[in-house]
Formats: sequence, structure tokens, C-alpha cells
Amino acid sequence: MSWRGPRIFRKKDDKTFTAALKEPLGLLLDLLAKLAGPVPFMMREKDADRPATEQVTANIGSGPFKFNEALAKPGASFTYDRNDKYAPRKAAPDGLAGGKVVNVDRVIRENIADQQTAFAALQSGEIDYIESPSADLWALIESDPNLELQVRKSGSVFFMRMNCLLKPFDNVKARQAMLHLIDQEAVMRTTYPPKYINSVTSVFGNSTPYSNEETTGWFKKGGDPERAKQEAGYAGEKVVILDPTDWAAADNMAQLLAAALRKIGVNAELAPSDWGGLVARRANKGSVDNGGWGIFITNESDVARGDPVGNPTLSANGENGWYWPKDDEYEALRAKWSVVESLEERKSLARKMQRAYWNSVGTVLLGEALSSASHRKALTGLIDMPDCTPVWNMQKA
Amino acid sequence: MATYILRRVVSTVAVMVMVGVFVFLLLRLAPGDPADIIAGPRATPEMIAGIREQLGLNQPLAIQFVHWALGILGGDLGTSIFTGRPVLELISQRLEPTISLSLLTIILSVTIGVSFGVLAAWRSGGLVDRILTAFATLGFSVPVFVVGFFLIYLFAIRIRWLPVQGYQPIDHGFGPWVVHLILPTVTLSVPYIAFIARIARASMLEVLSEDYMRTAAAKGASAYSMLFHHALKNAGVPILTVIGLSFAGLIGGVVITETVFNIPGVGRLVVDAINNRDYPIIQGVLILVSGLYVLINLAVDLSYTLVDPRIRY
Amino acid sequence: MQLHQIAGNDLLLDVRNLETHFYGEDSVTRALGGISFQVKKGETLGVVGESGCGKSVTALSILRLLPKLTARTVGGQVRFHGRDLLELSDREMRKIRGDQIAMIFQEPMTSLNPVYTVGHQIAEAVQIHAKASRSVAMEKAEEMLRLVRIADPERRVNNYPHEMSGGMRQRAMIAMALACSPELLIADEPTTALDVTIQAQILRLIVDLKERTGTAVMFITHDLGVVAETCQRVIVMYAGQIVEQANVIDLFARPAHPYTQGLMRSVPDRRRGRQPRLPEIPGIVPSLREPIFGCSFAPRCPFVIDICREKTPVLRDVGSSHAAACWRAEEVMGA
Repeated sequence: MSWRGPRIFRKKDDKTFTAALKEPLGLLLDLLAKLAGPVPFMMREKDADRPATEQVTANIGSGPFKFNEALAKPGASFTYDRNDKYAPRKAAPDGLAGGKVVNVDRVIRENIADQQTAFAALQSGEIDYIESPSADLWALIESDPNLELQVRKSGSVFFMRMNCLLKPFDNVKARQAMLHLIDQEAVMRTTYPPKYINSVTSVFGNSTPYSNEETTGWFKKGGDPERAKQEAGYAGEKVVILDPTDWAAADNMAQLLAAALRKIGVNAELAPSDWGGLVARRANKGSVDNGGWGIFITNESDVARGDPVGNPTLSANGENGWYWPKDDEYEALRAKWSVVESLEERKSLARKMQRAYWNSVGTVLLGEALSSASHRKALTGLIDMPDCTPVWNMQKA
Repeated sequence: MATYILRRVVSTVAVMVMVGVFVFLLLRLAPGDPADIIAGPRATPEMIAGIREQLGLNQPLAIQFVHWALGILGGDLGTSIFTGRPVLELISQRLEPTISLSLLTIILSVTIGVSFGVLAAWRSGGLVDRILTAFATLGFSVPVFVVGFFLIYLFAIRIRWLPVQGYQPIDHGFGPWVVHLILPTVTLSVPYIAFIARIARASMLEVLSEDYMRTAAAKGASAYSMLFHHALKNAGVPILTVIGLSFAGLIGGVVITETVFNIPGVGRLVVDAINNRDYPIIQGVLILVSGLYVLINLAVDLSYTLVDPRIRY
Repeated sequence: MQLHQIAGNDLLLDVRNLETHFYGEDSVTRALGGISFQVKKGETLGVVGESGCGKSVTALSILRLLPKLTARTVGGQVRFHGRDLLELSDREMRKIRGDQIAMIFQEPMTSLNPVYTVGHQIAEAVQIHAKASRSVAMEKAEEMLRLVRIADPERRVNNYPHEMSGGMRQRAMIAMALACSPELLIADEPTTALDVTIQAQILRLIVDLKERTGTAVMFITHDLGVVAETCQRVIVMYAGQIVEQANVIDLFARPAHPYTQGLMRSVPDRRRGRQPRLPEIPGIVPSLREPIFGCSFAPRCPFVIDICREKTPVLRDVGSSHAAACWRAEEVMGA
């Protein structure tokens, strides 16, 4: 049993490889350079040759760093040592590209489960950097003279999915009514400080090249429960909202949503569980009585919204796609995405897709929370880019 | 004695079989097909079928249980879904911090708790007794994580004597090992010290009014000898019982303490496993902890005979 | 007041005006109202009285074994070899206890520590005071068990108290008390809790051992019969006071206090076995929580006259080596 397709990439010489494709793929370079969503990684050939169900057993490193197998404690901490044999490019660092110069001997990734503990460790100088401190710590971090809160250029987009197979959301009117109902700022403020939230109206997010304003009038009229009530065509069906109680942000938002729905007379019911339970339940296509569901809330990186081909949440191909919205017009447009050659052509395609999408309403966007990292001021040379912070280039005073 | 031990061993086996059935059914009774859970949301039907085949999920439940139980008896606790490593290996990697924390906690709780209790009983009604009783009430009612964060704030952030978090293996040196364990041990010990002190005090008070204590005094025995030699051993059975109870239930406190102090022990392993729905790990830890629980109970019951010669099995 | 002073060389214990109080929630019990008596080297002194009269409190006050929270000796002296025990530090007092003054208690069933072997408990006294090693002390324990006539002492040293009968435990208690050859043995009702036949054996044992070791014995009992068999001198206590003091022969021949007379009438005749009912002294012992005016025995006394209710009688000579605290002692003796 092999999971490999036909071989596309072939080595030309030590520094070059070629790709042989059956049809044009204007998107190829973008796909290889992706930051978020499913991301391509390079592997050793013998690891790549394994069946997808098999675990890769040897951890090697990334180039600038070598994985330290002896100090690895799965689930607790991983240690990476500087690779002295690695020759960085002679270029300034630029996101994940450019010269990857390592200025420290060793980087240890600690998996500190408790945010409060992580923060205390950062304060005392036992660790230098927290990848994504929880929102309730931001004010504390900003008030500590030794610490710095690094707010990234982009964050994560929260959105809700409605079950398009069940009443009431099988009716496009009901889904459109949700666009009118949602007040993004109110939703986001359940969890995040106002200065770290943005509204997001484009299917393609805020920070991607394809972000646009097409058919976003609903947003200006958002937070209008009366209008939502009139247009929904609602007939009293029970709406089950999956509520992941172990994820504070989505939990808060689910509760607010339930309250807003009840206010306009919707029979909304929260179904609390942990995130794992939510994931198991949302696969159920059955009726509410048989464990089905009406709404769940999740998020993804804003950057991931620039990739309607690779990112399954941007599909609308019904039961074959990601939680089942169906919009044939949008799908026909999406099929052209990988074929069109230029950025400009893709941007114009994105506008058409967005118009279709906001008519069928596969998703309701809830807003963007800017992501942040925090570090001790003694740690410098952090590369500012969306979604993550590379550990090369960092310097510790 | 021999028949008693035999009887206890037989009942232990019975208990472990029941635990085994329960733990086995855990994965089977969880919502959804185990293979679906293991494969994750993006799995193809072929992958799920492959996993079903690999786990033997197509066989009758009873057969699956026998295979699973035989595996455990042979030391095979299964393979972690999340990391793909053998569960036994993952658990043994995490044993050292947990055993270190537990042992230090037991030593600290027993010595301090018993001493507090004895002292309070000796000076019953006095200032020392009242202070210790107040501490015992407080220590027993404040949650572990509150104590933990308070101690972190005080000793690690304000006066910076001790590290906030982390663990150093003992083979990196005794100093770093013990320094990293002081705060977690104290945190975890507080409720046990309080609990043991309370029981020790009550038990000692009863013993101190016994006639044989007057006999000992008439013999010229010192206060220390009266308390720790004559009285404590008589007060021992109830104290041993609470010590046994406490440490059989230690795992709950260990989970929280390891999380608060970022100690990569079995407690953290199990918390992460629950978050990841990594059932084989949860099952493995449950089996081991249950076994330990039963063994501690047996050890406590047998230890009564060492303390009180009137008890015979 | 005290008329029969014993010459310095013979004097072992000299108790003067000993006064002990017990403290309750909101009351003070004057358990000992300032008593004085002496014990000569090698003699056996009987201390007689009903329960609650202060016999045991006297013993515990001498050894300073009263419960610290509820009782205190508030006055007087306990001079042992001329040193006042009440003035000693706790540490010095511990050196006296079990070494120079030993004590055996009423309840052999509960007075031994259940979790140690009797050998261990006897040896402990030896280890504390003779600074002997464990093995030497254990040999001594075995020897002591042989001395108190316990059969098979090699085996019995390793017995726990629950493996022995009551009589055997009391023998072990005696062995423990005598292990360091004390000069004074206080025996607080040592036979009360035992069967009649065992009582006699234990009494004989105490008398024998006293003869052999020359230890002085303070024998506390409510049983005048026991006194007659064991003691040379007797003090009779009532309501925290000594009411009569005499040689045993004089006391039995001519009791000078109505209370002593009453006690004598209630003695069971051992030779006829247990009597179904003892003639009792009518009335009850007065409460020591309230101040007492006049003679404390007056309410129960067949000889009572007006003065008895108004003035407290003091102990006074009524013959050679015979004293009593009664206004009408002479008449009582003649009665």
C-alpha cells in the first residue's frame, strides 16, 4: 500500500530540481512557499518513501539546526543545536526566506501546558520567549519592564460553520440571516482586548493578496437581529451549537452566539464537550436527534485564507468538502484557481468567487484576533512575519 | 498470615481484571469508531480500514480483549496514537520525575505531618496546637494550584531563590534536581501534611491519656521518648491508614502539580494524552496506577502488623 | 503540729503541707489540703482511704506525674533525701523517677504499653538509668521476671502484654518498678483489679521483695485488711486530709478517728471469703470544690458535736506514735 502519486520532482543537480506537470499550474511556486494550512515539507527520500500511515522515526533537523535526539522528551521538550556545517545564504532574512544565520548555540522548545507557569518562567528569565501567550496575559506582559509583547502583522480568523444539510441552515435565507445577526466586534470582545482585534469581511482574509471588498455590504448592516429575524424563514427547528469548553475563545463565542439566537426566538442549544468531542461529533451528518449539529466555531490563520485550493475550509463542494456547504458556481470558479497564471488574474477571480460565496454563505466570519508572541527584551533579532517566528537570527544578550 | 496474603493476592487479581475490562472498554465505548478517532479528521476511508485491520477492530470484542490483556501481561501496553511510540517506553521516560516528586512528597508529608500532629497533641490546647490546627485547616482547604502559584510568585519571582518550573534529572546532579523539586514538593505536600497532622494529633491525644503513658513517665522516660517511642507507635494504625489513603490518591495531585510546575512526568503525559485523545496512553497509565493503588493498599494493611502486635491476619 | 519527727538518718521521704489543686472549666478542686507525713528507710507505710480521698493524688504529686493542664501542686515540699522534689528541673526529676522512686499502678491491663514486649519495657528503665546496653538491659529484664516468679522468663521477656494474664502483668509491672532497685516503691492499689487468689500472691510477692531488697514501700489501698498484712505504719486519709496516723498495731487496737472505725467495720473478712454486702459508712464524701467549715467528716460522724461543725480539728497526739484529727479522739478510742 503506497500513498505516493506519480513522481513530479526530479533532481537536476545539487542545487536545482525540476517539476514535470501534466497541465499548467500557475500556483506552483506559491504552493511550495506556503506558510499556513497544509504546508509542504522537505524530507529525506527514505522517509518520504514510507506509507503515510507509518511514523517517521528519525528526527534530523532543519538545516540551520540539528535535532538533539538524546535530549528529546516527546510531549515535554525538544532541543535543537546549531548546525555548524550549515552555510547560510548571503542575504538578509526575509520571513522564512533569506539567510538563516543562527546566533545561539541551542534552542530548547519547552511544552509548558499552563500559560500562567509559562508567564512566570518568562518573568524569571528561565525562558526567553512564548510563542502565543493567551490573551488574558497580554496586559501583564505589557506592564513588565523586562518583557515585550510582539503583536504580529496578522492573526487568526474566527468563523462559524452551519450545517447546510439540516434545517434551518439548509435554507440559504437562514444562512444569510446569520450574516445580519453577527456583530463581529461583540463576538471578538468576548475574549480579546479591542486593540488586538480586526473585523474581517473578505473570504480571503485581511493580509493575503486576494483580500477584497466584493459583496461585503452585509457587514455594514451586521449586528441587526430584527433583520435577521425577518429574513431567516425559521420554523422553530432546534439548533445545536457545539461548544468546546476546553478552548476559552470558542467557548465564549459559542455562548454569546447562543444568547443572540435565543433573543431572536431561535431554539438554540449548547452542546458542551472538549475539542476532541467536538471534532468527533461534527463528522455526524445525521439529524439533531441522532447526534447531529447546527453550528460550530473554529479559527484558522488569516494567511491560510489565501489558498482556496489547498485550504479545505475554503471549499464549497457539498458533502465531499469540509463540513458540507454547496455552491456550484463558486466551485467552478475555484477550479480555475490553479490554472490562471498571473496574480492579477487570480485577484479578479477572487472577487468573483467572493461574490458567489457571500450569496451562498458557506461560512460566517466572526473577526480576526491578532496573534502575538512575547519575549524578554534581552532577546533580539526576532523576524516579524505572520503566523510564526523563526528561531534563526535571534540573539540573546 | 500466609493465607491472608494469598487471599489478598487473589482479590487483587480479581480487582485488576475488572480494572482491565473497564480500561479496555474505555476506548470501545468512547463516542465514534476508535479507528476514526485515531485516523483524525482528514483520513481517507482506506486509511481508516487499514487502522481497523491493524488494531484488530474487526474481531469480536471478547477476542480483542484477550489479545489486549495478553499483550499487557507480556509488557506491551500498545502504541501511542499521537507519537507512534510504544506506550511503555513513553511512560518509562516520564517515570523518573513523577517518582522523584512522589517520593519527596511522601517523605516530607509524613515527617512534617506526623511531627506537627505529635507536637500539637503534646501541647494540646496551647498556642502551638492552635497555630498548627489553623494551618492544618487552611492547608487542607486551599487548592493545590493556588498554593503553587503563591509559592512561585514568592520564591521564584519575588525573591528568586528557586526556579519557577522545569525538571532536572538526578543524573545531572543532585543539586539541580532537588532545587527544581522544592516548590512542587512543598506545594503537593501541603494538603497531605495538613491531613496527616490532623489525624496524627487526634490519634496521639487519645494515646497520651492512656495509663501506659503514665507508666512510661514513672519510669523516667524523656518527653521525646514518651511521644515518639511510647505514644506514636500506639497511634500508628490510624496514621498509617491516612498515609496509605493519601498516597494512593497522590496521582491526582501529581497531575496538577506537574502541570503547574511544568514537570515532564506521568501526570503531564496523561493530561496531554487526554487532550490528544491518545487512548492507549490513557489506558496504560490507568492500568499502572490501578496496580499501584492496589499494591499500596496491600502494603498498608500488612504494615499494621509491624506497628501493632495485637493485629494478626 | 506534726509530733513524731523521724530522726535525720532514718528519714527517706518528708512530705510537708503538700497541697494539690485540680482545675476544671470553672471550678477548683482542692484534692490535697496540705498534708504532711514521712516515710522511713525500709519501712512499709500504708495509705488508706475511700476512693477520691487523695491517696493517688498524693502519690502522683510526689512523682510529679499529674496531668499538666488540669492539675498543679500549689504548695508544700516533698523532701527526698533532704532535696525538695518540687524544686527540681524536669530533667533532674526524670532521673529520680523509676530509679530512686518507682511506682506500680492499679490497672495491670492498661498500664503496660501494648505495642512493646514486657522485656523491652522492663529493660527500658534499666537503659535509661543504668545507661546499660540493650543486651545487658534485656538480661536484667529476664532476671527481674525470674525474681517476680514468672515461669519461663526466657520466653516471657519476648511476650507482649496481651499475651499475659492480669496477675502476670502485675508481676511484670513490679519487675519493671524494681529493676533499678529504688529506695521507695509507691504501690497504688496494686491488687485491686486482680482476683482474690492472685491478690494474695501479689501481696506476698511485694512483702517478700521488700524484705529482700530493703526498699521502702508506700502502699496505697482502700483495704484495711491489706494494710494489716503488709504495713508497719498507716496513715488514714479523708477528703484530702490525713485524719489519723499510727503504728499498724495501735491503729487496729484503738482507732482514734470515727472514720477509721467506720472503715474497720467495712473490712471484708478474707477468711470467710467475700461477703455479700459490706457495712458502709452512711453519707457521702464532701465535695472538695466548696470550702469546708469544721471537720470534713462531721456530716457522717456518729460522734459529731457542735464544735466539729465550727472548727477544723488538727492532727494531734493521742498516744505514742499515734495521732488523729478529731475533737473527741480520746472518747472514740475508748468507745
